[in-house]
Formats: sequence, C-alpha cells, structure tokens
Amino acid sequence: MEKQPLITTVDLKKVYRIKSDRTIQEVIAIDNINLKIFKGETFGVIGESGSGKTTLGKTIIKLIEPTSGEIYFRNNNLLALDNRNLRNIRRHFQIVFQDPYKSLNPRLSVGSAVAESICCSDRKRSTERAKEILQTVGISPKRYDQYPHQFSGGERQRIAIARALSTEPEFIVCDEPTSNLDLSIQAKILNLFLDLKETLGLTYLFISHNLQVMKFISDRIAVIYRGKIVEEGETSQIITHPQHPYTKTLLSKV
Amino acid sequence: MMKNTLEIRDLEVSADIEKKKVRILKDINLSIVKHESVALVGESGSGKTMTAMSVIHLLPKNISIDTGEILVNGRDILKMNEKQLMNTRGRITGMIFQEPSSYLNPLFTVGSQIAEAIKDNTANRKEQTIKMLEDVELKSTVYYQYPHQLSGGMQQRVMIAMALINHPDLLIADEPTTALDVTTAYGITQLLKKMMVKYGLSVLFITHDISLAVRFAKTIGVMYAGRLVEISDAKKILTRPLHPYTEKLIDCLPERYKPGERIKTIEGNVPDFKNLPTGCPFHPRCPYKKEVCSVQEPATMVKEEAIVRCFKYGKTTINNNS
Repeated sequence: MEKQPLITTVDLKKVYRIKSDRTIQEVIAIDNINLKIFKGETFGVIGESGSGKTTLGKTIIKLIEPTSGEIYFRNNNLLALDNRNLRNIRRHFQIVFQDPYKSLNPRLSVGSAVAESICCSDRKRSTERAKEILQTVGISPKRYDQYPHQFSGGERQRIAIARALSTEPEFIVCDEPTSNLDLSIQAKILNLFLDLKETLGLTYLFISHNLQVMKFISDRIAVIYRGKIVEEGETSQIITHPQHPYTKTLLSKV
Repeated sequence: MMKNTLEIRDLEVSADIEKKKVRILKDINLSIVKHESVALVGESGSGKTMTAMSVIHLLPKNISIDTGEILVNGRDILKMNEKQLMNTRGRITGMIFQEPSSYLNPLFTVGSQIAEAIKDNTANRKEQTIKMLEDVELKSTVYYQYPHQLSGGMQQRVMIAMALINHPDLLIADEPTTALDVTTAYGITQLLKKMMVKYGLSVLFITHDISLAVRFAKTIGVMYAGRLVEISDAKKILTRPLHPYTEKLIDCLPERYKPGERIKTIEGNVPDFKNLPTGCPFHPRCPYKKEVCSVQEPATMVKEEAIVRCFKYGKTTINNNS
C-alpha cells in the first residue's frame, strides 16, 4: 500500500434544502467526513438507510456537489477543477449502482452501452475493446448486440460493471451492488469484484448495509450513522472490537 | 385434536405462460405443527411466494391449482367457496408482505384501517385496535396517524396488527423484513416471535435469507425450481445440509469465507420454468450427479429426521410426465 492516498476528503459536508410549505428545512446528509482511501484497497461504508452512505459515495466522485469541504484525487482538488479538466479526470472513477434494472438504458444494446464511453475514435477498435471487457466480466461477446431485458439480474450487474470498466478507472464506487441479487448470484458478483481488483489493481469504495458482505470484501470499514462517520478502522478490528455504541448494536443484531 | 395448523399435501400448481401450461409447483408437501414456525427459503422464482399465495388462495388469474389439498386447521381450503374463503382469511390465516407501504391506504388513518378489518361486528373496534397497537409495541396515538407519518418498521408493525386483529391461527409472512434495515428487521422478527407465544400463532415465514430463516424458524424448507428439495431442522441445516442445492447455497454465504478467499459458487443458472431440465431440475448444476438424475426425478425420502429429494440417499422415483 502506498503512503499517499488515492482519495482524500477534508471536512466534506452536504446539506439538502427541502422546501415544505413556506419553510425551508435543512437536512445534513453527510457532515464532517474526513477519509483517506489508499490505492488497491476496498474501503467499506456501512450504515442504515438514510444514514448518508449513498450521498457520500456520490459526493466523493462529485456526482453531487458538496456544500463544503474538499475532495482530492491524488493531488487534484476536484472542486477546484474547471469542467474540462474535471471531465478528463472523471474517467478515473466510476460507479456501479444497486439496481441493474434501472441503471442500464433499455434502448441501448449492452455492447454499445459499454463501447459508448471508450475513448477511441476508431469505431472498430472500441467495439473490439467493449467485447474484451464483456469477456472480462463473464458475458459472452456474442451477446454484444442484445438488449438489457434479455439478461438476468446477475448478468445485468456484470454489464453495469463492464460499463464502469470501459473508461479504465482506478477507483470505483460500488453502491450496494449485490443487494438486489440472490445469494448464489451475489457470490459470483463478489468474486468478480475481487478478481477485477487483483487483475486491474482497482480501488473500491464499497457501500453496503450487509455486514456479512462487508466483512468479506472490505479491507477497512467506516460505520456511518446520521451522516457522520462514527467509527473507522481495519475490518477485523471493527468486527471484533467495536468501540462506538452504534457499531455494537449493529453487530449484535446480526 | 388437530395437531397441524397447516398441512399441504401433494400440491401441484401451474401457470399459463404464453398460452402454454407450465408447472410451477410440483409435489409440495409441508406441514406446520401448531404454535411452530416453518421458513421457506430459496432464490427468486423458486416458488416460495406461490406456495404462500396458494395457502390463502390468492393466486393471479393465470395461475391455477391442479391437484392437492391445503388443510388449514384440518379444513381443506381448496374445497371452499368464495364466502367460506373470505371467512377463513383474517380469522384463520393472516398475511403480511414485504413492502408495508404499498399495502396501506395513504388516505386513511392506520387506526381506521386496522379497525375496518375487524370481522366481529359486536366488538368495540377502537378499543380493540388500540389494544392491538399496544401489542405490536406502538403508541396508541398511532391510531390517528397516516401511513406516511410512520417509518418502514412502524408500518410493518401496523401490518402485523392488521393481520392479527382477528386472532388467526396461521400467519404467513412473505419477506417481512427484506425492505427494512438490520436493526429494524431484528425488532420485527423479535415481535413476531413474541406474538407467536402470545396468540398461539403458527408462522409460515418466507425469506431468501437463509441465515435469517435459521434464526427465526424451527424448521426450514428449501425450494428450488418449484420443488421442496429439503425440509430440515433449523439447528442442523447449516452444519449438515442434505440436498446438494442446500449445501451449495450455504457455501455462497460470504460469512463462511476469510477475506481474500473466493466464494464457492454454483455452476450455471437457475433454470427457466418453461424449459426445465429432465429428471432432477438441479442435476445440471449438481456436483454429485449420477446417470439416473437426468432421467428420473427423485421422490422425497426421509433421512436423519429430515426430508430430502435426491438420489444421493436412495432410489425412489416419482413419475416424471410433466
């Protein structure tokens, strides 16, 4: 593990303003998040619904504009970049969503969904490359021209992963990628994440509410509760010696 | 005295899919002893929910029960007319579902919705409802609240109150905690356990989560491709699974592996009902398959106090003409 972190956040905060009647309510989704994610590790974020896990994942790759704070990818301050530079740097991070039924365009063949974001002017070469990527995630390149509805839930999630890989990212936010999948399919997808991490040297921010999955996949875990990270550390450490009362209740209920 | 609250015998159910008759449940035999709980586990499309829906006889139009008996408290619900069925639902069987918010009417207070379900016309509805709300550990003021004012866990408690308001003997819980957070889900399963004792309930618990099933129920039924492939004691199933599918499914649990290891997965995919493999539907994925497995379908057999459907344990077969 390198000393220099791949992703650093400093006092990251996101406040949603919700209009109700005439008053505007402020909801602090995430507050005071200071994280360091190192290259090659799987950093798990665990918490209940509404705790701010997804907001955190999306804010880190600037899909959501934070209210305050800083995000660094290596030494680049994401919030200081102009659009052009941001777009250039964005290809280094990707996201895989929870529901592969909603995250794929039903009117785009899976091959073109993957080929779409391959930066290559030569159509033929990007098709080749897309086929290669589909192969890596275990989808037969013969199915290049098929549409999402012709695939099962597990296969769709593989396609969503293939699409994420198409820009050759270093960092992938995985937002509950196995929560909608059956146990036997979850097992295959988790294995795929591990294989890809090893072969491509990926770094993951892995969001989940499932402690068993977290325990299995993460090197380090942060426990998020009401928008704040209440505990952070090596996975084995957190599981065996939880410090924060919330982590203790969470562990006792499983 | 009738010992079993629920007894399903030789149930066969088929669906009309694209004008073809497809068998979706085959040879289901299951019983729930009074005051006990059985959990059905399996992956999506294995027939768990269809089994449950058969028990309250609420099947979609294109699905029909071909043969079999479903005895609830000794009475066959398949022989009942619509009026008798209406009397059975609520009074004898109650049901709760995965997504409580979609089963509550947003325009009425939860109190009025629970009170509406009371079948005894002489009862003091409000009093009875408030008592029920307290039983499911909600404040009596919830009576006046609307569904959107309640959290998912509270909504599920309201559903439980509604299902139990007529004191049924059997509660069917179809993935009642799947949409809930870990800590809330824990509260709901604890509540169901309390209610089983308090109301003398039997529970048919449906879940895809085998570890949750083991913690909740006394007996586990594992379903695969519309068959009950194994019925075992919850205490034994994780350590001593009998059916190869159960064994492989348990192997998929991430908690059984150390970090960095790969999970042992099951080869292939769950088969489509429209073209099930011949013989045992699990045989193409089974590590123990023999020649006979692709030709004939094994019948259920008793093995170590459990029931299993696999040629590993003997040679009885059933007719395989569907």
